[in-house]
Amino acid sequence: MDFSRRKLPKEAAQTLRACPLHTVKPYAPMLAPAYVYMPRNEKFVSVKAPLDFFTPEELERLKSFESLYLPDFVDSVLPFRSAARGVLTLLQWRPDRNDPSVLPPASYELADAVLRLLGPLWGRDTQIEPFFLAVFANELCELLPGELLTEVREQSVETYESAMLLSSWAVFLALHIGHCDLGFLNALRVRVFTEAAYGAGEQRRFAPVDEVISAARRSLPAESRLAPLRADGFVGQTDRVSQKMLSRLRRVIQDLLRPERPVATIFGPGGFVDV
Amino acid sequence: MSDVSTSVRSMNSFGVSGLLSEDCKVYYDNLFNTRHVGKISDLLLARLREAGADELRLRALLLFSVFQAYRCQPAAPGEEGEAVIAPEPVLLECGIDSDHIAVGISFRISQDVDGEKLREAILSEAPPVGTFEELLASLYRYSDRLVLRIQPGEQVEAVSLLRLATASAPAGEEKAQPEIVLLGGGEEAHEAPKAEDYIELADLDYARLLSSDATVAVPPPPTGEFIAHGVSELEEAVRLRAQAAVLEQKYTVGGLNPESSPQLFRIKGEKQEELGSASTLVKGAPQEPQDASSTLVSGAGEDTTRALSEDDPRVQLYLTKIQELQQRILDLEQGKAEARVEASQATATAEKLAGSTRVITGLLKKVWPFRKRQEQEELEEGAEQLAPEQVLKEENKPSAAAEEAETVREATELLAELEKGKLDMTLNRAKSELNEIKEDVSSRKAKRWMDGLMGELVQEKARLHELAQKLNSSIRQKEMEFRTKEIRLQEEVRKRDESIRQKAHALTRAKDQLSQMSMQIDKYKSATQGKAEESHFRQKFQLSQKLLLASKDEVSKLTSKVDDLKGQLASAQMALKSRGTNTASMELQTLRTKNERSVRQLEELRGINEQLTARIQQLATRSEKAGKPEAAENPKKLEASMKQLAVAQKDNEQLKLRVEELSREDVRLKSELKRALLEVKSLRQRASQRPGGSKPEDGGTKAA
Repeated sequence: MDFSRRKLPKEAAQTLRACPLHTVKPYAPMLAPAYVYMPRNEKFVSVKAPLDFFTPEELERLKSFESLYLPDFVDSVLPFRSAARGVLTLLQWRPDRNDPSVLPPASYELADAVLRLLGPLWGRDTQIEPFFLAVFANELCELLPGELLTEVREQSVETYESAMLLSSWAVFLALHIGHCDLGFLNALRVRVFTEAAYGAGEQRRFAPVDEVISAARRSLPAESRLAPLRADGFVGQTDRVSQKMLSRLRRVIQDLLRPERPVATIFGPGGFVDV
Repeated sequence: MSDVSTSVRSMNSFGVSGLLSEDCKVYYDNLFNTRHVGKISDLLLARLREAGADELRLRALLLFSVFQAYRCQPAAPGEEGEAVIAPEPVLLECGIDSDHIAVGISFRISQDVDGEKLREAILSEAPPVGTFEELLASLYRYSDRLVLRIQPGEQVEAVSLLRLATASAPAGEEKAQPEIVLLGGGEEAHEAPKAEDYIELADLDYARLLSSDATVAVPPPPTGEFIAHGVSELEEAVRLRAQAAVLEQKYTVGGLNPESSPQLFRIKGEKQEELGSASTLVKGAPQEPQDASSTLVSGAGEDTTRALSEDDPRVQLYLTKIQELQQRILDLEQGKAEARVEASQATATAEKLAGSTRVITGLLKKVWPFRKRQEQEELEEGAEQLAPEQVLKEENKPSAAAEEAETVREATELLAELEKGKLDMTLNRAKSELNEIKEDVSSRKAKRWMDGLMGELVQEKARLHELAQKLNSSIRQKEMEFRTKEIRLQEEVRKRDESIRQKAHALTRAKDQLSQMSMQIDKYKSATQGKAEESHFRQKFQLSQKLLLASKDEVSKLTSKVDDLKGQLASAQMALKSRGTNTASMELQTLRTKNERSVRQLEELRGINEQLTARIQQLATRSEKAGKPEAAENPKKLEASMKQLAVAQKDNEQLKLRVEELSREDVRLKSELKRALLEVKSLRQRASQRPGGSKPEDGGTKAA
C-alpha cells in the first residue's frame, strides 16, 4: 500500500513506537509502515509498507536491527485489534468439561456480544475504512497461507492488497449478520481472497455464504477499495444480506455507536498517506 | 390454498419473504450446531406468543427443520459426544405476517433430487427413505403448506407455513400438496422480495422474553419454630455450580443492557444476603447457639441481632461483679479516711508494745528498710521480669546508656507500684496493725511514737511520689530531647541525601555533555575528512562543467546546422514546387489543348470519313451504273484519310500518355515534399534532445 513518508529524521523517534523484531511473525500483514533505524545516516528508513508482510528470509536478514519502529498511527489501529481479540475470545471460549452446569452461550447470545464489540468500531456518521477491517480480520482469523500470499504479491501488489481488503470486509460483514463461527470465518476469508486474486467468475448462487460474498463485492468494488464504507451504502439494495445489515446497523446507531469517537483514517496527518 | 396464494410474491426465490406479504417481519439466525435449538425455539415462541400460533406444531417444525437439515448436510464428523458441526451454517428464518407464520430452513446439499419422486414419497403412506425424505415428511405433517426450493447440487430450502389463529380458514379446504420448485437450468432464481424488517434473534430483548416470573416468598412453616441441635434442616443457599466462587466473565453475554451483571446461577431463599460458604446458619431466634453443633430452625426471617436483656444471668453476674468492685473501692477509700482519723487519735499501750515488739520490728522491717527493701524487691522483680536475653543485652550496652536505661526502668516500676497502690496497701496494713497495737498498749508515749511513725511514713510516701513525678518529668524531657535530636539528625540525613542526589544528577548531566561533545568531535572529524574529498569533488565538478560547455557548443552548432538545412530545404521545396507545378501545368494545358484539337480533328475526320464513305457508296452505285474508272480513285482517298486518322489517333494516344506521365510526376513530387518535411522534423527533435542544448529556434520558413 502506498504511503507518503519513506524516510523519517532522527527527531521522529519521539513519536515512533518500538516493536521488537522477534515478536513479528512471518506472513503477518503490517499495521503501519515499518521503519528501521540506520545509525550511519541517522535516519529511519521504511522496510515494509502497510499490509505488506515479511517472509522468514527477510526477518532473518533484519535480525541485526532488533526492533522495528511504527508511527503513532498505530494508536488508531489498536481499538480494532483489541476488538478482534475480544471477538476471538468469545468465539473460542468453551466451558470446562468437568463442570456440566455451565453451558456455552447460545448463537443469538454470541451474536449479541459480538455486535457490542463491533458496534463502537463504526466511527461517526457510521463509516469505516477498509484498511482497519484488514487489521481486524488479521487479528481475528488465522494467517493466510504463506505460499498463497507470496504468489499473489509477486503477481501484483495491487491485486494482493485488493484481495486482502475484500476478504477482510467479507469477514466483518459475516460477523454482523450472525456468522459467529471461527472455522467458517477462516474458510470464508481464504475463499474470498483466492477468488479475488485469481479472478473467479461471479456465479449466481443463493447459499448464505454466497450471498455474503456477493454483497461484499457489490459494496466494495475493485476500483474503490480504499474508500470508506458507509451504512447508507446498503440503502436501496434488495438482497437479503443488505437488508439484514441495515437492520443491524440501525441497532448500532441507536445503542452502540460512539459519536464522540473520531473516524479512524489512513489519510491526512493522523494517517500514513498525506493528502 | 387461495388465502396463501394471494400473499405469495415469488416462488422462484430463496427466503420466506417470498411466501408472505410485504409487511412481513423475518426473524433469522445462523446455526453452526444443534446445541441450542431448544433455547432458540423458546425465544421465537416467546416473541410470537401473541400472534396465536399453535405452539406444539411450531416447536415441532423448528426442531425437525434444524435437526434434520443438519443431518442432511455434507458435514464433517464431529468429536465424540458433540453435535455434528457443519462447514456452513444452517440458516433458520421465521417470518410472520397478518395471516401466516413461515418457518424456513436453508442448507447445502450435495445430492441430486428428483422433484416428482420426492412429492410422491412425501404423499405416500410408505415410510420415508433417507434423512431428506424424513425431513420433508415431518415438515409436511406439521405444517399447513410445504414449499421446497431446490438448486440441484447446491442449496435446498424447505418452508413450512402455518396459519395463525387470527386468520380465517376457508371452509372444507383440503391440505395442499407439497410444492417443489427446481431452480437453475430452466427456471432462474430471483432475488428474494423485500420484507418489512429482518431481525436477528440477537437483537431481541431475549433476557426479558425468556425470564421467568418473579420469585414467591417462602412462607414460614406452619408447624412452628424450635431450636434443634446438631441438625441443619434448611439451606438457604443452593449453588448450581460446583465451584465455591463465581468466576467473573470479562465479556457480558446476555441482555440488552450493557451494564447487566454476569449471569449467576444462584438460587436463594427469601433474602439475597451473602452467606458464608461453609455456614448453614439459618435465620431465626436471636439467641446465640450454646455450642457449635446446635442450630436454630425457623422459617421466619427475623433479625438475629437483638439487644441482651437485663434478665440474662450473665448480665446479672457481671452487674453483681461490678457492684462488688465498686464496694471495694468505697471500702478502701473509707479505710484510708478511718486510718487517718484513728491514726491521729491512736494511743499506744505498754502492755501490747512489749508483746508487739516483734510486730513493730516486723513492721519496721517492712516499713523503715522501705527503700532497701523496695530496691531489693525491684531488683528481684526486675530480675524476674527481664528475660535472660534482655539482661544480656542490657549488659552489653555501653555504661552510660545502661545506667540511664536502668534508672528509667526503676522509675517506671516505682511509678507502676505507686499507681497500683502497693505502698498504700503496705501503709494500710501498718495502720491497721498500729491500731490493734494501740488498743493493746496504754502508754501515751508509745502511741505518740506510733503516730509520729505513721506521719513520717506518710511523708516519706509523699516524698517518694514527688521524686517519682520528677523522675517521670525528667524522663519525658529526655525523651523530647532525644526526639528533637532524632528529627535533627533525620533532616541532616535528608539534606545529605538530597545533595548526593543532586551531585549524581550533575554527574549524569556532565556525562551526557561529554558524550555529546565527543559526538560533535566525531562529526567535526568527519567534516575535516570530508574536506579532503572536497578538492576531488571540485575537480570532478570542473570537469563536468567543461563537458557541459562542450556539449552546449555542439548542440548550438547542430541547431544552427539544422536551421540552415531547414532553410535550404524550404527554398528547394519552393523552387521545386514552383517549377514543377508551372511546367507541369503548362505542359498539361498544352497537351489538353492539343488533345482537344486532335479530338476535334478526329471528329472532323470521322465526319469527313462518313461523308466520304457515303460519297463512295454513291459513287460506287453510280459507277456500277455509269462505269468503273471513278472507283479506282476513291480507295486511295479513303486510304489517305484512314492514314490521317491513324496518325491523329497516334498523336492522341501519345498526348494521353504524356498527360499520365505528368500527373504521376506531380504525385511523386508531392511525396518527396512530404518526406523532406518529415526529415526536417526529425532533425529538429534530434537537435532538441542533445544534452545542455537549447531547443532550436524556429527559423526558416515552414513548408507549405
